[in-house]
Amino acid sequence: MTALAEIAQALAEGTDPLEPDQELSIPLDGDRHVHVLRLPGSAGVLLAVSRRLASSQGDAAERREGLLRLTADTRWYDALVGGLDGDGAERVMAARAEPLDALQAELLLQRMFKRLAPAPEGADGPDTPTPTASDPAARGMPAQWLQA
Amino acid sequence: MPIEFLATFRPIAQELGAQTASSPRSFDLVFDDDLCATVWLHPNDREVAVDVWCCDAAAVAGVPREAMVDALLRLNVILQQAQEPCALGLDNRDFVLLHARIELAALAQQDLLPWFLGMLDQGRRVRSLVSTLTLQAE
Repeated sequence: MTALAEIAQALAEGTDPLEPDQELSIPLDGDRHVHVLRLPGSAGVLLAVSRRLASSQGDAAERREGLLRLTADTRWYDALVGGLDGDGAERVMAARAEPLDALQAELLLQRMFKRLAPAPEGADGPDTPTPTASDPAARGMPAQWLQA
Repeated sequence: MPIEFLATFRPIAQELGAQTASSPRSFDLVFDDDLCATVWLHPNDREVAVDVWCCDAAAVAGVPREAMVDALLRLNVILQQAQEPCALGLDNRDFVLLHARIELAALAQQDLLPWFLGMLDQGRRVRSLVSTLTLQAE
């Protein structure tokens, strides 16, 4: 099972362990993260994927403009939203109602990562095999949510 | 469903100045300050969506454009985390747009107009922000 599949499976099991308005950041590899924000009440969950790149790395202006266009381009079907967080990491976000289907959640996360910059050199992309046990992303996700 | 949509929105559309529907699923509005908006029935038939066309950014280039893009992207994170039912984007004509949608079933008829006016107000604020940023960055 890939790391993304593990996260998706945990999402399908529910985000109840998280407090409303609590955001958990799950490291995937080097500079890429999956973020889960449990929305209050029955509003669902805000998923985000992010990657921190130096503003001088590649063509940052073109990349960020692409993220802004993403919101307009996908507003009628996937409703993905491009963003830039307080630390300068580029984000793709999607709000979804719960419960989530594990497979659909995994596919959604994969699509979101594809809209970010390409995976770092040497990384296997969103289908990265499950990391080693020492990697934070390898821990059981519901348990990890409780640690947040 | 399109007929119901128009029946629901006709009073609001007329109150805001729209004389006819743009399509069976949408109508356009133009306001005195040149702000434009389109109200749609979403393809999922469950939501009403609004596109507020905040400003034309085609002529904004270089550093001012980068400042505008970064600011709008940061606003998107804040809006999403605050669960605001809207997001900012840039369409293929280079118009900055505010896209908002809301479940029809969760929206009482009397709430439609205040919600819509609230989104227009947000659109005006975004237009003002873009204007300020591009002037400052020049």
